[in-house]
Amino acid sequence: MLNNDFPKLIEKYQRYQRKKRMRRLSRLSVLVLIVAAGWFGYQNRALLIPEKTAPVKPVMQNSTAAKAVSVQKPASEPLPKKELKRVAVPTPKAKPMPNRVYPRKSKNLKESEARALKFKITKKENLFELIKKDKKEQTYSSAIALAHYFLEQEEYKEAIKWAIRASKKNPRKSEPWIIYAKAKAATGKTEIAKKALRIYLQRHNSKEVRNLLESL
Amino acid sequence: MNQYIEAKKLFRDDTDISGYFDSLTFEYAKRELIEAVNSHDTPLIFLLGDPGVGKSFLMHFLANRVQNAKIAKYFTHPYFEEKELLEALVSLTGPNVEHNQHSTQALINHLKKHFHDLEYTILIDEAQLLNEQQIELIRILSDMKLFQFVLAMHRKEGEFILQKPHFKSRVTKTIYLESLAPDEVGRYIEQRLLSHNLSDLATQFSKKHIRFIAETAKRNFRTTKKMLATLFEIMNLAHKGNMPQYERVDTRTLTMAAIDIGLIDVE
Repeated sequence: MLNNDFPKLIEKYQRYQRKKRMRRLSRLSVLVLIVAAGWFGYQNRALLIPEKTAPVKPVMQNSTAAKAVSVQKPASEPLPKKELKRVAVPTPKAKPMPNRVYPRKSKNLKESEARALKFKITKKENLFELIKKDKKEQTYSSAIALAHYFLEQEEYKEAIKWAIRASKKNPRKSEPWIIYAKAKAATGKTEIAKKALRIYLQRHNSKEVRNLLESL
Repeated sequence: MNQYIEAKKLFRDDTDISGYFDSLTFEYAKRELIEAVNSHDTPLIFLLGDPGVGKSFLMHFLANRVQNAKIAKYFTHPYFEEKELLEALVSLTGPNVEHNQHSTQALINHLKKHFHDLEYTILIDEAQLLNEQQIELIRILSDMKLFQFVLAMHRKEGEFILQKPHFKSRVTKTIYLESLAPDEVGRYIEQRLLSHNLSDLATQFSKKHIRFIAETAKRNFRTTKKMLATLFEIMNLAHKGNMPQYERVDTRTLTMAAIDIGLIDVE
């Protein structure tokens, strides 16, 4: 004999099945929530990577140039008092700053790759991927692409950071200097921007840099 | 009688020797026990195992099927008074002893005259129910080498008794009876049904069902039997009530059986 009536047992079984289904559903929802929260956190973490502003290593040959480079240290580092005074009075030009630096015709693969990457950065996912890639490979292309992206997004501090990184990877390239100068100028530090561009022109010849210097 | 009722009877909880199943743990414990009993050199043998693993069945098997074992008395349940045991033992010497007229010491002396060298064995099942005084009497009798005792009891209680100083220092043998191995559950069901020409039912058990039974019943012999008996009762009721969906071995009917015997809590 059964401990329960047969119909009652069937009813109990059905209740058990319902409970089981509910348990599964709740477990699944908890899992989904955890995954979503994890993904959200992961995404945000990508944007909040702690800044490690490395000072720009001088790439100049003579001592005066090296001295000049030390002026254009990352924004996080305190500037000398003298410099701060100069920066405190921004002189906005009538001519607005170009939002985009139109890329030159690429001569090597890295530059074209950088351009390709630059235009890919439309979503956070791409941005994150790029930061990840840069952390892993530390290439010029990813750094310059990120610098471009942040400049477009008007996140000048980030743009400067990535421009410095790109410049470290390839000191001959004018693009990082242009982005750097634009970002500095956009934050009101036009003199520093000009100075940086002049330093670059002392060593390299670039029409773009010269045009930008004139426009500032 | 339909096949379900027949199958249900096969899984009744009893110590019927026809339900013998040669599981690895059972065979090992059986061999150890018979050897220990026949050697007559261990005064106290503890047969330990969780409830429902087959201790009673093994005791029953030893008492009834092992021809050369000198089993003097088999207590299926523990005695309740000290004298009860002694009188039962004294009665082994013949019907002409008037037990009630003897004191405990007189009864022991009487036993001393007739029993020695652990020649005979006394089996006591459910020995976890014995109180300390009764266990002490058993210890004294075994110490005097009057009888060899086999005490079948729950593992936890047995291990507790064995930890006591007066048992620790004595010669005892402990035999453990464990649960069935996972594949043995399936072999048991198959063997039991096929041996009674119930192949139609035996073939309905898939590996998944066996795994479910083993996990739900925790590979306990008694619980497995109980679950199967309930399963066939459900199938029998479904057969009578013309509900074919409940008339087969599947996860649904197995779950229902588990719910009925309380292995799955629905509340």
